[in-house]
Amino acid sequence: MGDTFFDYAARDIEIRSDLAGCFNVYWRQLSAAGTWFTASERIAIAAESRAAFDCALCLRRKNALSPNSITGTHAAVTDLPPVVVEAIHKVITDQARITESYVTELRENGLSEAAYVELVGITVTVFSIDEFHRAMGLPLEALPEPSDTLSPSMYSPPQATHGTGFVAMLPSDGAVGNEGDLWINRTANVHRALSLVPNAVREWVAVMKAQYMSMTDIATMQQEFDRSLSRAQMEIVAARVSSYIDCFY
Amino acid sequence: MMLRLSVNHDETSSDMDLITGESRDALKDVPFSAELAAFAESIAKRDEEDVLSIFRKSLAAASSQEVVVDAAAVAANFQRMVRIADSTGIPLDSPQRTFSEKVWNELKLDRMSRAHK
Repeated sequence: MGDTFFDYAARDIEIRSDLAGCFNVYWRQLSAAGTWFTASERIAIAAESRAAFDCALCLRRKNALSPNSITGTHAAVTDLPPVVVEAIHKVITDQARITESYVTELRENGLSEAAYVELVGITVTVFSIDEFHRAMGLPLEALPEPSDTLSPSMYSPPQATHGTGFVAMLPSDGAVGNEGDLWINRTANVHRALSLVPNAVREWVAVMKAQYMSMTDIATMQQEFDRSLSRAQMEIVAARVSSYIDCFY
Repeated sequence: MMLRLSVNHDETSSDMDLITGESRDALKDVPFSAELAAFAESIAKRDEEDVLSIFRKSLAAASSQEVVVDAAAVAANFQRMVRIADSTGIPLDSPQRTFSEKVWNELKLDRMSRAHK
């Protein structure tokens, strides 16, 4: 798959080339077999993430004081198992009410913890690319076709442990061995969050670097960027979005 | 929290009310702050294109197309970041926790029933 997606120049709109570049790289990664899902399944997860806001069940649950009291069937657009659809839609439409018991319930219904982590990575990375398009008034990019029929690698980093959040993750100083490229020395919890599936971290961090800044720049309070916005201006946007969707991390 | 650190670094006065949307005049020293906040809020609220385009054009008129692109990218990025944090239940990092107490109080976040530390 070449860089045939995100051709903004063809749409006569000026958008930084590094954004199109990293989106193309991610689309290529999305189209290949992952750690716990096949290429077809990964693309189906992406498609399902796009359907979540049109799901009547999700809307009713979002507006309910007790979402678990609302029963029904998701308006799925794929043949993914119901527990997978449930998780994708929840991450998109009502993520602030995800709890440890909710993740445990997913596991009891057949979605393993590691598969959930990969699912979250795909769902949120595709969503962030889609949100950029929506913010710019652009149509969503067509999803890629599967590029292989390989089985998932089922790789699991041996140093992942529980104790920080709802899922196992690498310790802050655990980016060693095969995971030595993930970060240097120690890092923040949000960087560790999806590290039970190391490729999920590699994928979203690359997109973040183009959309926002690198983890290194965040940690060092870098103020000068090859951007039109200053650090303070970026943080106004970040804080406003985070505040509106109830995230005070 | 990163906003407070950024404006302090720049020795720019900060008013945390801008974060909660209670003051469009806050952070007057930061160029286009009101237009940036309004555009970001419209994205987060998932306004329809006819509304969102008003804020996009307003920001573009006050600044440039490059600013609009960069602001859209940052907003999109945080739509992802908050979902990673919430989906995995990660707590604040230790140095962040101490600092967050001060910001938490300044923003009066206790009044928001769904807010969690």
